[in-house]
Amino acid sequence: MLKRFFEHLNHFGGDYSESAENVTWLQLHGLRGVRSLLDAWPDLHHITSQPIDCIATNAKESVVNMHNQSMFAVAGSLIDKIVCDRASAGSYTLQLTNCRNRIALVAALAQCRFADGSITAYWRAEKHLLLHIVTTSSASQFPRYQLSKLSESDEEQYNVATLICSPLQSNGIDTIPEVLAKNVVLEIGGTELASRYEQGLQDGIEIDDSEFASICEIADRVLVEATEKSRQGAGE
Amino acid sequence: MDIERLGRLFPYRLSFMRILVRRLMQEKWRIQRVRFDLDDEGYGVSIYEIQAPENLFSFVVFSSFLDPSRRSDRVIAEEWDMTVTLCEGRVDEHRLERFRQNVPLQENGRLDSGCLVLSRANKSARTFEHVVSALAEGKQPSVATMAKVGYLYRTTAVYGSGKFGMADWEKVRTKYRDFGRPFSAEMFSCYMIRQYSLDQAEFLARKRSPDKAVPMQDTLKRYIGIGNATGLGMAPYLINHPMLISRWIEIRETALAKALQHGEFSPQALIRFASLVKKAMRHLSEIATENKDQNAINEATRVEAGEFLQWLEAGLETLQSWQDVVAHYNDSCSVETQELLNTLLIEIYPEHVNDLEEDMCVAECYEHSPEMSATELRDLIQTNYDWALEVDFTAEQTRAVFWYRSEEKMEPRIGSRGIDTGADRELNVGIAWSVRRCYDALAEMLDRDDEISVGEFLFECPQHRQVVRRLQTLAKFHYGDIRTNFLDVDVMPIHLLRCKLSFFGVSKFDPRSRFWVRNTMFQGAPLVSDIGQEFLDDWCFPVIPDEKFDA
Repeated sequence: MLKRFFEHLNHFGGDYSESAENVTWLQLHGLRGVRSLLDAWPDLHHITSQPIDCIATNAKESVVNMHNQSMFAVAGSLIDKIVCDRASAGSYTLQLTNCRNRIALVAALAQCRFADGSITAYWRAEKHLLLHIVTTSSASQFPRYQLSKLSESDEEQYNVATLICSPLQSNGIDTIPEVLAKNVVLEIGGTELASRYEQGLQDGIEIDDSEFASICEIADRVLVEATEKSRQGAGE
Repeated sequence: MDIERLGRLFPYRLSFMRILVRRLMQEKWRIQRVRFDLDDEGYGVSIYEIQAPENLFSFVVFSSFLDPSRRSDRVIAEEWDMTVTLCEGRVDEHRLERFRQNVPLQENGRLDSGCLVLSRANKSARTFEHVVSALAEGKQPSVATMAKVGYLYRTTAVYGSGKFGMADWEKVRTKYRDFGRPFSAEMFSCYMIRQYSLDQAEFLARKRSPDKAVPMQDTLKRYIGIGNATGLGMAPYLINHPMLISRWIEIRETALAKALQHGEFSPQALIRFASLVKKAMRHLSEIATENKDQNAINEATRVEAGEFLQWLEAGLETLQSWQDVVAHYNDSCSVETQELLNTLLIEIYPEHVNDLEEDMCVAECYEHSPEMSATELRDLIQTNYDWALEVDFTAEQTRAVFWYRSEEKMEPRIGSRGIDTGADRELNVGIAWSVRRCYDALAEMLDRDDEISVGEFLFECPQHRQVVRRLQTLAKFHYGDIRTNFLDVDVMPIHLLRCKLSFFGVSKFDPRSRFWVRNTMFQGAPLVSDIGQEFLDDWCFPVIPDEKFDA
């Protein structure tokens, strides 16, 4: 169903299977992927023809305008890019503006594989003074996901995310500006994520009924109306 | 993988039904009918409990009246003679009630994560009443009548792996390991539908004529399988699971290679091989389809196999190796006959082949390489997808059709581009077309900068990400994509259906069009009551039993 959702959304391209897997990964690990997707839906469904573009770049960093596209759809491409850029630059930073569904970075980083080093992403929550930090390294199976409390004076912006690819292993907070990571209030590590995965596998993925209905309604838009003639297209 | 050859495969020793039956017999699964609450018409609830080595499962059947005018093989049907589910554990009244509310609804119901399979089946109008009447009159059913159809019920859809709230494949694989091989739970459900069809027919005969009715003889029961109708819904599966299909083909080829390399070339082996050829010829001659082309193919194969048999028997004293035998039939026979004989060769060496059944699974994970240079990707396409680049997509016929999902139960259908509605929502099954577009975009970027990486290419052109991940991943597999253009005006989905069904283990392919096929499952297989008895594992290519059943 989620694949069909992204098929409907994905007229701009991307890999809808990968996008759906990222939502499923979050839901399976109790990180509310479906809710995030639906929250962003009002912005997502009418801007999908505008591709992301690089608005500034140098040897160590780039700034990318996401044009409100869903991170579920493009996280894989962004991680690929930073891995490639890091290969030639040692370490590399991607500053992403106007992006939605940034929580998808947790799933995308959990599922990406690279030869060495680490990738850390961080972004400010939309409604709270919280900073999301997720990091994964070549040596670990699961990412580390943390929330750090921000103060009123912190200037981290909404709708922005930062990715840092480093040749070193990282615990997340050692990679980002110290002022942003000084007050970690929640940490979900590999053990907890593994436990959530086992639980999800056993019990199935829980989805709120209304969220399920909303996803179905959007996913069903890829279905084609039936006619007597169309019925011949599977039978003859 | 050439689609023409894939469309000629026969069920073989490592087909999923064969593997399943071997496990049932070797592990002595205990299957008991614990509830059989049917009314005088045979409608009601039945439950079978299955004690497998690791878990207890229940198979729950709801049978109800179906107006014959509403009986349909199509997935878009709304009512059936029988609906079933396979679930973990015992079924108490509370759970049974939940099933009663949902299982008969099929796609419109919701099951729980303890369920493995949801399915349904319809009676064969031609045979069910004949069997019940004959048994009620104290006679065995006519073998001739049974030979024309081969089953009492026909399944029209078998769902598993996470559909409608059921257990995801990962859970089945790791938690319900009795069914931890591809389609094992689905095949088992079909096996149980067959068992239920026999039980219900005998029950109705006894109801109709308590004093006169007789049970069906086991020999005839074994000859009764379970019918199946498979349509386009199965075709996208093969396109969307290339790693799995590649593995299945690889296993089949490995089985053949092991038979050739390690199988002792002895007079006994040749005699066994010849005996199997004779059985297969008889099997082919007994297939009754309404499809003239299929009948002609079956007859041509039977004739070729006969000519081959003559050659084999003439050379029994002089032939030196299996390589000589295979070289002969590859030179002298059609692809269909070649595949038949390959199947039979694999059949005679279980000791070299059966252990491959452990390798049927594959982790379907797309692992691509963004660091790869774009030139390397271009070379990879030129090498592995030359067949796709050879398609002239400027010709109208090469993109004449599109595949889509209908709003009617999401049934996959094929439409004519430019004529039918739905091309704007087409399914992404045109792999050759996707490769072509990716290749052209790649060439354009390389013209500007020939030092870019795949990651940089995909950042600029994310629309090609899916196909790049696919072709980079499949480059690591021995067999890659199915080499055909699925958007061509002459596309033959029936080849895909037969390929997958051969891996399931079905026989007697009866194409009803190029879009759907009827076939028979488990014909000749041991019965539930045979579990625990001697088992020869030789039920392939079933033939009409040599008995006097028409008494």
